Order: sequence, then structure tokens, then C-alpha cells
Amino acid sequence: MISGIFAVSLAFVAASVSAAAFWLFYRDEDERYLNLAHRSFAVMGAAVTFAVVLLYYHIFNHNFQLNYVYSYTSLQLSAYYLISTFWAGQEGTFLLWLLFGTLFGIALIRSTSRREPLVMFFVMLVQAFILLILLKKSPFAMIWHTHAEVPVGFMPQDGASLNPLLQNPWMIIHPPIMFVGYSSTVIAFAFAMNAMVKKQFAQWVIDARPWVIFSTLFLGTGIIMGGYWSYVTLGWGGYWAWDPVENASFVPWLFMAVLLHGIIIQIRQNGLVRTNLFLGGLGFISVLWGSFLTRSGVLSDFSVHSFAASDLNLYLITFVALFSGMFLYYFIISLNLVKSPKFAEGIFSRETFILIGMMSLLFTGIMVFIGTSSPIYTGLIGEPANVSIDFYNTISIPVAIFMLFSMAIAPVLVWKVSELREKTTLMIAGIISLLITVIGVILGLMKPVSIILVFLSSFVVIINGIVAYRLIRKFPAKGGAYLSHIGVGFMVIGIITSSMYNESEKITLPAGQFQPTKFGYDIQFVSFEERADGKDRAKMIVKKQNGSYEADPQFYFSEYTQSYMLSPHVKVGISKDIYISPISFMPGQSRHRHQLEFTKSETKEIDELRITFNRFMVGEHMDQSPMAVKADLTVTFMQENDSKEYSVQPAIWMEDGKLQGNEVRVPETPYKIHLESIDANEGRIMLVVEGGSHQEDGPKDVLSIEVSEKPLISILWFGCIVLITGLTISWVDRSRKKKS
Amino acid sequence: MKVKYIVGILIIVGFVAFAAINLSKSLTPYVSLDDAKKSTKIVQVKGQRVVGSENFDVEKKVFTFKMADDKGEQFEVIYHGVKPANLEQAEEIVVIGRYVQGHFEAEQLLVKCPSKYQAEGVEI
Repeated sequence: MISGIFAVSLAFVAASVSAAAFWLFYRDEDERYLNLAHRSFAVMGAAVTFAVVLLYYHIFNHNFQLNYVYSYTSLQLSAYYLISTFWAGQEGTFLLWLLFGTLFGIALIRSTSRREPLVMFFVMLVQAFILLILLKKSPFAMIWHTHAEVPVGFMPQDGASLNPLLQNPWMIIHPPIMFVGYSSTVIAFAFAMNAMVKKQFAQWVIDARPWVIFSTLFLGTGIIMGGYWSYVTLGWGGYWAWDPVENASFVPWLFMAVLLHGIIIQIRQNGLVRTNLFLGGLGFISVLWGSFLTRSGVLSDFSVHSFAASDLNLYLITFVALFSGMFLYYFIISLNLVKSPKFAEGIFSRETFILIGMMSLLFTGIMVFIGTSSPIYTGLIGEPANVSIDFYNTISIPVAIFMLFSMAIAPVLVWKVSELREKTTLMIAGIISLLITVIGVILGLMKPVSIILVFLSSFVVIINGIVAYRLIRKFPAKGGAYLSHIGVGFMVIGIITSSMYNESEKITLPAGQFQPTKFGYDIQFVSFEERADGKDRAKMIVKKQNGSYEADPQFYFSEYTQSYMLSPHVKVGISKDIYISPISFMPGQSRHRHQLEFTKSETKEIDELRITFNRFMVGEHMDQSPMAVKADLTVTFMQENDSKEYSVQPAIWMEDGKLQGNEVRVPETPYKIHLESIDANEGRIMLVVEGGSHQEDGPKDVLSIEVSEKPLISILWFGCIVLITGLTISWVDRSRKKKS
Repeated sequence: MKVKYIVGILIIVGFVAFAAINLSKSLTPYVSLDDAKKSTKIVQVKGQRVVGSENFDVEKKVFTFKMADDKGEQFEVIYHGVKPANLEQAEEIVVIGRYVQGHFEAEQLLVKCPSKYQAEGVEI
């Protein structure tokens, strides 16, 4: 599409001009340059917006000549899922990234661009680079550009559609939120770069602070939504798998969260100046690195759901190398210029404990970063190897202990003074946490690690709860940090109980029978329930002592993936979730289906039937449609001492461009016959015979399922909501203060 | 004051050592089937599924299938989990686990789908 490619090209030129003009304004302080910078920014913004609207226009008009529209959409998709096809492919997500970059640019122009033009210079530099990638891999490429075998001007009837796993309400909202988070990390980077170029290291943390909270909020929300989507749709029973794609979002989140705390120390104590500069760059660079890992295809042997291999390697690695190199250059120069006074003198000061928490998170981030990248560096010295999930789980435990410990003690400490205050509050919180832990042990908490973590998490929740309660009564807007920590405490409890004490059982269910489970309830597989949207469900009844409920996990054949799609049924409860996921299905005798080919006058036997194809009947008894063709069959139902002969005439006709056929029951037998296809020239037909044995006790349909109980997983989701709420409060508070 | 720094450094060194040991322990390299048979560590083997060999054992409640490695040698894979949804289209399968007693005990299955999947769907 020429207009789309033109828009991207124009945006690229405008972004480059704008970046140059912001830099010239910084150097010469000439108003004309600022005007030029703002105008070319406006051109870039308009061109990017136009490209977004144009892509949507083509998606909604089903213009399958566009490779992107062909690859990810189809006529059947509802409007909601058409919206989400925008971020189904790499090109669309880059466009989304650009759109958010533009919105952040507007916010920065309105707040700090006159005072800090270099910040916009770096933001526009990144925009220009992403636009360059979009010129290489355009969302507006025609299908014959990407597929050499397709003739120019060809219009496919329908698109390849969207992967059914992504046809889920969470997938409408999760990716854009994730990309708001990713793209916003450029702002902290730009402020840090600006500080280093100008050699002024104090102001940037104040300016960048609301943006750092913003990035932490959106990355966190996106990750949580992704986990919840995985839990309710993928059916493997978990919400986090340490997959490269997940890690690529987790690492920047941790780095931004560490920076958030580092900024607090710098503002309060003038400390951690170098660390904060480094973290400012690290967040954005980890986003770039994550994009490279997941989009270049280098990990496609190691991940279940990275994007497929692409030809963008060179661009992406240049992108990473260029920005990392630029950042490191300025960082090394700045190291000697920074004067960072001593701080955290006493052990029991608040800053010491914040530092412990920061180090725990930073350590986790670096380790996950190293672990996820392992195929790259091991590939340089030999066969590429990746790390197993055990690595991440093992290192998380000691880190979690330190992190929780710091969050449990820090709220009662004060700045600069090393003194353990509020001993009574600590005592009360300790006693309550101990009680909770004892109750936990009585209820089945066994493993030492889980006992320690539950105790510390309870401590975190209670002590932060007490402090937040006191604070919020006086300053309602100041509770965000404590609330976030309460959320983290709840989350750890939920993670421990639902993962370490998750119990599951695989059972097989012959249709119609109640089967006992070890959880004390019986499950019956009733039948398949056909749905209009094609997403059939396996209907089950779960009978408990106090009532019963219906479970209906999805289980259907997808044309898109040419395989069975499974989705769990989750019975949500406060104390536990009951999670049922289908594993496999074996049809019994009653579902037997045979396909047979006949030429004229041919006779074949199947089960208890002998079928003879006599002739085609055209133009006789046209009750279905004028175009109908019937096959005249003689069917003999063979019993041991008694055979009966029937005349059966299934029909086939064209309707709305598709072949339609009717199903004809062979009278007095359990068999049904329909015409699958005909070849009038050769005189051949394809018959499908369905049905089966007369006997009631023949093999039944058998469904295999996995039932699991996830104790207290509700606490995890509750903690997530509390964390997001806390971060939102902090963000609103910090952005408001900045304006005044 | 110095005590605090020493303790801090010791903790950091301890953590780094702990992580390094775990990292080297949990690195799972790609190996050939022959190497997998010799190794006692967790490894990953790449190969193709043998069409039609998939079976869900109702009694044992395990999913089994046969795979052929790059040389074409077939071996049995036992997986205590749910069959990946897109196994049938897999161009390549990566099994992660151990080779024990004549079969591969997979802890994880990675299914690599054709990257050109959608491109090949074009009908002309």
C-alpha cells in the first residue's frame, strides 16, 4: 500500500529532523530550532497516527491483499478480535510502540522539552530507529511482495485468521498494556542520557520519577494480565513458566522497580547517583535486548511462543548495540564526575533496608537476564544450551527471603538514623504473623521454605498494613508504596500455596459414569456440547457433598492450527480453585465414522452394512435445491439370521458456494449415511457412514482430564490488584506534585 | 562500620556463587541421541515425531510418542503431561529430559512450528 509506506517514510524523515532540531536547540538555544523540532514532531505524530488508522481501515475492510491483513485476520473474526489482530504480528507491535512513543512525546513536550530538549532528542532517535525497522518490515507490504509465488493483484478469498489461543478477551487488553510499559522505559533512559550529557546529575531523577512509576505500573499490570490469561486459557495449570517471552518483560519490570527505589534514596540522601544512571539505561536496554531475543528468532528452539524467525536480526542487533554503546560511553565518562556522598551509615536505617530490597530485585533481574540469554553465549563456545526452569525457581527463594525481610522491617525505620523503632509494632506484627504461620502449618504447610516465606510475607502484609493505615488517615495520597508492598506480600503467599501445594490427578471418564477423585468429589463426563462459534465444550458434572456444578472446558478441533485446542475450566473459590483441563478424547463405538469410495455398481461392506451404489439421480425429486444430486444406494443391514434391504438416497448440492449434503438414516438401524463428495465425470462418490453397534454395552466415549486444586490462588490475584492499586496511587500522587 | 560492608560483600559473593553453581548445573545443552543415552544430566534432543505414534496411555496416564533424531534413529518419548496442542503440525520437536531405560523421560516438550506456516496457506 503506497500511502502506508509513504506515511512510514515521512514519519521516519520527520522523526530524524525533529531529533536533529532538538539537539540543535540544546546546543544553540535558538528558538527557531525548537519550533522546527515541534513541527516535525507533529508531522511524525500525524504520519504515525495515519499509518495506525490506515492499517485498521484495511483490517476492518478485509483487504487481504495486504500481507498483514491476510496473515492475521479473517472474515469470521468478530470486531473485538479484529482490534486485537493489530498486535498479532511484529509489524503491528512496532507500530503500536511508535504510537505510544508519540503520545509520550506529546506529554514530554508539554512538560519538560524546553528545559530539557535532549530528552526529546533521545526519544526521537529511538522513534526514528523503530521507523527504520518498519521500513524494512512494513505492515503495508502486499501479499505478492512477501510471497513470490502469488501473482500481482491477487485477492485471497479469506485470511489465515488469528491463532485461536489469542482469540481471548485478555489478548485484547494485555498486549497494548505491555507495550505501553515497554515503550515508556525509553523515557527514563532519555532522562539519564540527558543528565550524563549535560553533566547534571540531580534534577533528572525528579523529572523521571513519575515516568519510572508509570513504567513499573504498566509492565507489572501487563505481566500480571499475561499470567492470568495463561492460567485461564492454556490449561497447563500455571501462570508463569519462565519462558523467554515472559522473562523479556519481567527483567525490565524488576530494573524499573529497582530504579524507583534508587530514586527515592537519591532524592532523600543524594546517594546512589551512579547506580541510578546505570539503572536508567539498563531498563531500556533490557527492553531492547528482550525484543531482540524474542523477535529475532534466535531463541525459537528454546521457547514455546517466541515470534517466528525473522530477517530483522541485523537491524535489531544494531539497535541494541548502538544504544548500549552510546549509553555505556557516557556512563563511563560520568563515573568520575559524580560526587556521591556517603549514606546508609547505620544498619537499622531505612536506606539500608531499601538497599537490601533493591539488591534482591536487581540480583533477580540480572540472573533472569543471564539465564534467558544463555543460548546466545553458550552458542558462541559450543552447542547452545539454555537453563532449565529449576534455575529460576531455585535462585528466587533466597532472593525472596531477603526482599520480604527488607519490606518487613523498612516501614518502621527512619531515614539517616540507625535505630530500631516501634518495637511494640514489630512485636505485634511478629506475633500475628507467627499465628498465621502456625494456622498454616496446621492446615498443611510442611516445607521449611514455604513456612519461612509465609511467615515473612504475613509480616510484610501486617506491618505495611499498620503503617499504611496510620498514614492514609492523614495523607490519603501517600499510601501507595505501603499498599504496593502489601500486594507483594499477598502475592508471595498465593504463589507459595498455589504452586507448592498444588495437587492434581489424572482421571479417565467413560461417558455417563461418575468417577471418584482423590479430592472427594465425583466427576461425570456427560457429552460434547456443540457451540455456534465452533469452540465445542466437554460438558461435565462435578458432584460434591454440598451440591454440584457443571464444568465445561473447551475441547475442539481448530482449522487454524490443524489440531485440538484445549482450554481449562476453572471453578474459582476463595480457599481454592478447582482446575479441570482436558487431556485427550477417545471416541467409542457409537462415533465410528467410515469413509468409503464407490464407483458405479460397486458393492462394499462395512460393519453390519453391505452398500451398493446404483446410480446418480439428477433432476428427480428436487426437494432440496435445483442443483441437488442424489446417489441411489441399496443398503443391506446384515444380522445373523435376518437381513433387511433398504433403499437410501443421500443428496448433495451447492449452497452459498459451498457443498452441502443431508444425512440419511438407514431405517431401523443405528447407521447414518451422507455424501461427502461426488465426481460425476468419473462416476464416483465418497460416502461417510456413521453410527455403530446396536449393543448398548459397546465401548463408550472416553475423556481423559486432569483435575487439580490450587489452594489460595485467590490471594495471589488479590495481591496483584493491591499492588497495581498501590502503584497507581503513587503514580497519580507523583505526577500531580510535579505540575505544581 | 566495616563489619557491615564485609557482611554485605560476603552475602553478595555468596549469592553470586550460589547463582553461578545453579546456572552451570541447570544448563541443558542440545545433544545427539547417542550423547543423551550416555548422559545422566538433563539434556535436550531435537527431532521429528513419527506420525501416528502418539498415544495417551489411559492406565498409566502418560502421553507417549516416538521421535526420530536427525540421523533417523527412533526412540520412545514418555511425557507426564498434556499433549501440546500443536504437536501435529510440528516441524520439529525438542524434548527436554533424561534418557533412562530405553526411553526418553521428557520433562518438557517444545514444539517448533513452521515459521512460514501462514505463508504456505495461500491458495492460488
